[in-house]
Amino acid sequence: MKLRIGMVVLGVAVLLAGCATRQTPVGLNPDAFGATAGRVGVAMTALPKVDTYFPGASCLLCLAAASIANSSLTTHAKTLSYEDLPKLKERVADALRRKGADVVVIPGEFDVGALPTFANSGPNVAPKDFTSLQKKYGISRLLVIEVQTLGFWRTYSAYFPTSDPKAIFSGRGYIVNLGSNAYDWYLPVNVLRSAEGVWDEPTAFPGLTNAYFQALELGKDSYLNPFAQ
Amino acid sequence: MTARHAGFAFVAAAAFAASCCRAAEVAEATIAPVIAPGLRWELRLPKEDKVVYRGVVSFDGAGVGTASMLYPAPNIAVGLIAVLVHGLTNEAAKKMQKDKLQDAADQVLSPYQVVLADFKYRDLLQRGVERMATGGMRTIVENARTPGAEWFVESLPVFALTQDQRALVMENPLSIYAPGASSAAAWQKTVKVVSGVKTGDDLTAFWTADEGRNLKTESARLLAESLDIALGEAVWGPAKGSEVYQTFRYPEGGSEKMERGQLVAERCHRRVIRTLRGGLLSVPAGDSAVSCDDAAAGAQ
Repeated sequence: MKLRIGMVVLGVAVLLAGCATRQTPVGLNPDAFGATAGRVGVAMTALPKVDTYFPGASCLLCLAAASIANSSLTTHAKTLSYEDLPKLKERVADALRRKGADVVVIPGEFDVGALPTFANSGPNVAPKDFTSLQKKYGISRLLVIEVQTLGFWRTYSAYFPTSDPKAIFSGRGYIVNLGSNAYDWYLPVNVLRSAEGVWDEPTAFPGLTNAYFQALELGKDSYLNPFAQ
Repeated sequence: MTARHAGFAFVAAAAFAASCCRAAEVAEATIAPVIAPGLRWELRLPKEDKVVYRGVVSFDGAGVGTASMLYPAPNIAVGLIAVLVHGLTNEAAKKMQKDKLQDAADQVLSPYQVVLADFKYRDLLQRGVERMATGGMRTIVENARTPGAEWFVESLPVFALTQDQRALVMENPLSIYAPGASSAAAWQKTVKVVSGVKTGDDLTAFWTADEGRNLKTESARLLAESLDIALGEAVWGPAKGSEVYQTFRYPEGGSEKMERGQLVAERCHRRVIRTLRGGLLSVPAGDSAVSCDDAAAGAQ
């Protein structure tokens, strides 16, 4: 009986999670940085491994088939570098300084998951409670760079690919007002680049490698451009 | 710098100086200063008659979704057939979508059909070799001709117009045979050349005026540049260039494009990049520190 109740609770939780509203983009609040805005912290979460992703290969056997079919691409993906991506927070910080902001770079990998859940949820309010960071770092706002997916993305319908593999860079960037825990800026980043010409060129995959570095540049631009204007 | 590298740099500099420095308008035929006047080579006509033009297409958005699939499987045989049919229909859908995207991209050429209808490879190659720098004796030969006592070049340039009509892009797969070596090509690569960015209110009129004079002249210029770069490398050996891989940014019409590769040469606001596939790419580089004057001086 306990097991049944547990299964029902789990099922409802999964359904509710599926219905959870997705955060929509929030335009950059010009008051979020500048002489009167207070100090801004810039943090970056841990970078994901460069890897392959097969959305739509939804059954275990489908996923195994997709993994085997793309194993040489997966092996190649793991050899690709981040280039200067780990320094992105310093570049964003420099861009903010050029806009007149007082900026501090938060050292190390920032762990959003370790923050407690924010009690007063609402539109354009961060689900995690960032407010305690105000004292910890002596900042009034926090800009967070989260890169979530990096590598190659190939859509599937069960056992079969529905697209050629493409380079992917996805993530999000946001500024949280540490007084209200509300977003002063929220930008989803989703870059997909296809290989020019054929893609299936094992073992070096030059077309897809080129696309990967293009996606890497475009992804970095997504975080820098809002502060370059 | 070795004699080989100096030779290639010499060709590249003159090629750039001769063909690359006009951004806003296509000038009349410019005859480049001849490099290696003693060099004789032949350029074979492609089998195709009409010059191929396409619209620049992006497949970044291609893909037919991630719909889940429930296979009817009353028994193993039916299940396997269902899986196979699903695989075949998927492949057909992917190909159909790519064809559709290319067809839609080709629509940009609709106003150009009149001027392109009679533009033949023989005409293009003639215009191209007139704008080249390399070799004193250049002969266009029929497609039936095979490599012989001279340097021998096979080429099939294909052009694409950007959707904003501000640039022309040419891909030219080339095979070059050394004199007396008829069986295997000494040099085989694709050279891609991206034109400078054109400006103007009516670019269709700009390209098509006077029976497409600007379009044909620019096409010939891109061809000439690809042949100069290819011959330079085939005859004098690859330029040393940089061993560092970088992601280069360049304008392709109104869009910014990127290419991962190694810098081979930088002259006259243009760069030649060795791509990851081993081909050569010549692109505009507005931020290049080397001016046209410097390039011309270097070629003297």
